Amino acid sequence: MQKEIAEHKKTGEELRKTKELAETANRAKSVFLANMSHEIRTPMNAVLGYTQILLRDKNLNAEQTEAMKIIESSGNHLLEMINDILDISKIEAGHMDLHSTSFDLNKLIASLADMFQFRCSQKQLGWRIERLDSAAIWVLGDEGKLRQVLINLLGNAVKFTEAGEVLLRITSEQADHYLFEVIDTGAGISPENRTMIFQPFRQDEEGLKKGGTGLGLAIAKKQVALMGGELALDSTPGKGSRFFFDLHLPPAAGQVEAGTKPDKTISRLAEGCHLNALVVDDVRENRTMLSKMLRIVGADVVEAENGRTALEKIHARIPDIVFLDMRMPEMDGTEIIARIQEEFGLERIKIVIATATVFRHQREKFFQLGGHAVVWKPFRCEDIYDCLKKLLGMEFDYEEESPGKTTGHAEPNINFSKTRLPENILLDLKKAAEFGNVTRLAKTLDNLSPQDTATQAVVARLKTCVGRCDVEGITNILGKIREA
Amino acid sequence: MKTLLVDDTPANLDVLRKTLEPEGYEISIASSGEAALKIAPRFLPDLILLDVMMPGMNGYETCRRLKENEATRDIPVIFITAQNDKEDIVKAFRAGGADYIAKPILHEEVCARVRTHMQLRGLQKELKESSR
Repeated sequence: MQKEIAEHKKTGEELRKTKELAETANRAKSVFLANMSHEIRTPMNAVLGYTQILLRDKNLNAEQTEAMKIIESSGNHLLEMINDILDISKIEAGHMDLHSTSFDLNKLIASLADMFQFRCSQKQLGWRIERLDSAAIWVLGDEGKLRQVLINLLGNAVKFTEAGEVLLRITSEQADHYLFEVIDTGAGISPENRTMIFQPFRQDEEGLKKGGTGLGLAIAKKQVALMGGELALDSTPGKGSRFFFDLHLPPAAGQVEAGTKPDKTISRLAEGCHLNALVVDDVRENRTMLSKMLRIVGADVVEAENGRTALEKIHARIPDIVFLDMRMPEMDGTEIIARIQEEFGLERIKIVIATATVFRHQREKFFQLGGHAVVWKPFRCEDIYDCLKKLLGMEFDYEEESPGKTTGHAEPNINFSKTRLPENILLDLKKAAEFGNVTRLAKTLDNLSPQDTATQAVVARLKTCVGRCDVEGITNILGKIREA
Repeated sequence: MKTLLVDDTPANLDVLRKTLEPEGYEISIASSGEAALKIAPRFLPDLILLDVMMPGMNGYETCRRLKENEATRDIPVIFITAQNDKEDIVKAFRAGGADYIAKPILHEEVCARVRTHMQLRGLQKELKESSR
C-alpha cells in the first residue's frame, strides 16, 4: 500500500515536471516568434521602403522601373509568406484573437473587387461579383481577418483556374447572417483530397505544381472558425470549386470616414505647409529610409540613433512630430515618450510609434504609453503621410496623372490586322522565339524602326515580353502578325 | 558562346540573363524542364544553367534526360539550387551536373563559374576536332 502511494506521488511529480517543461517550451516559442518577426521585418522594412522611394524617382528608365517593381512584388511575397508562417504558429500556440470593429461590408467587397478584377484580367479570366444591393452595410466584426480569408480564397481561385471565371457572391438569407461564396471554374479538388488540403503544409497535386507554402487554407479555416463560421467546400473535378462560409455579423452604427483616401499619388506638402520631424531609430537603414520618405515631400528632418541624442536634438529644436522606434538599446521608446511628455506635455510634440511587432493587439498599449499614432513596419509611404495629415493637419499636392504612365490596368488592345513585318524579320523572330533566344530577339527588335503606329505598338509589346522573359507571350503575339 | 537558362520563375531568368549577356554570351531561356529538352538539341548551347526545383520535371530529371541524348550529352550543366544540403549537392552531381551555384546567386560567382566551364568546353571541342 505504502509502495503504491509512493508510486502515485512519483507519477504526480513527473507529470508536474513535464507540464512545466511544456509550458516553458511554449513560452520560449512565443518569445522566439516575436523576436524572429521583429528581426525579419526590420531588414524588410528597408528593402520595401527604398523600393518605394526609388519607384517615385522620375529619372529611372523603363527597365529599371520594371526591375524595382519585381523587387517590390517579390519582397511583398516574402512578407506574405513570413506572415503566413507566423499566423499558423500563432494559431497553434492559441494566440490568435478576434479584433472586432465596425466596418462597411460593401466597401471591403469593393476593395477586393478592384484587386481581383486586375488579377483576373491578367490571366484573361472573367470576374464576377454578386453582392447585396445597398450603399453601405455597417457591421461589427473582424474586418482584417474577413479580408484575409477572402483574399486567400479568391487568390486560390485565380491561381487554380486556367479558363472561365471567378465569382464572389455575398447573400443574406437570415438577418445579420451573411453567406460568402468563392466559386471558380478551375481544376477542382478530388474527394479524397478535400480534408487534406485544409491541413498545414499539405497540398494536392495541383497545389504542388503551382507552388506556395500550403498554409493558406489551413489559416483561412481557423480564421473562419474563430469568427464563428465554418469554411466548407464543394467541388467537381475538372469543373471547378466552391468555397463558402456563413458568418453572423451584427449591425453597427455607421461612421463618417475622415477624408476619403485619394487614388492619386502624393507629390509633396502643399504650399504653406511646413514641418519639422525627428526620426529616432537605432537601425541606420530604417532611419535614413524614413527620413527620405519625409524629405521627398518637403519636410525638414533631423535624425537620432538613440534616446539620448533624440532628447538633445529635441532641445536644440522642438520638432512638430517624432517618429519613434520602440525597441532600442539603452533608452527604449517607452522611456523616451515619458521624458518628452514630462517636459513638453502630452500634445505639444506628436509621437508616432514605428514598430516591427506582429502583435497588433499591442496597438492599445502603444496609445496608453502616450503615442498618438502607430505605423507597422514595413510601412508604406502613404502610412507616413497619413500621420502628417491626421496629427498635424498637413495638406498635400497630388501628382497629375500623366497619360503615358502605366496605371496597372490591363494593357490596351492592339489591332493586329494592321501590323506588318517583313517576311524575313518575322521568320527570324519566330525562330528565335522557338529557341527562347532572348538575346537574338532583343537585337532584332532593337534594329526595327516601324513607321506605322500599330506596328510600333506591337514592337513595344514584344520588347516588354522579352524584358519579362515571357517567351509564351512573344510566340502568341508573333502568331497574330501578318507578313508584309 | 551560347547559354541556355532554365527556370520556372521569369524574374530569376531575367537576373541571370542580365548577369551573363554583358559578358557576351548569347542567351536562350526555357521556363520548364520539358521546354529545355525541346530547345537544347536544336539550339545546342555550350552550357546549360538549370534550376532544380521546378513544377513538372525537376532539374535532376531534366539533366538525366539531357545526358541520355547523344546530341546534348556533352553540354555541361550547372545546377542553380536553393537547397544546400550535402544530399542535394550529391544528387546534382549524380544526375550528371558539372557544377552547382547556390541561390541567391552572386554575380561574380556566376560569371566565374560560367567562364571556367565555357573554357573547358572550348578546349574539349578543340580536342575532338584535332583527334578526328
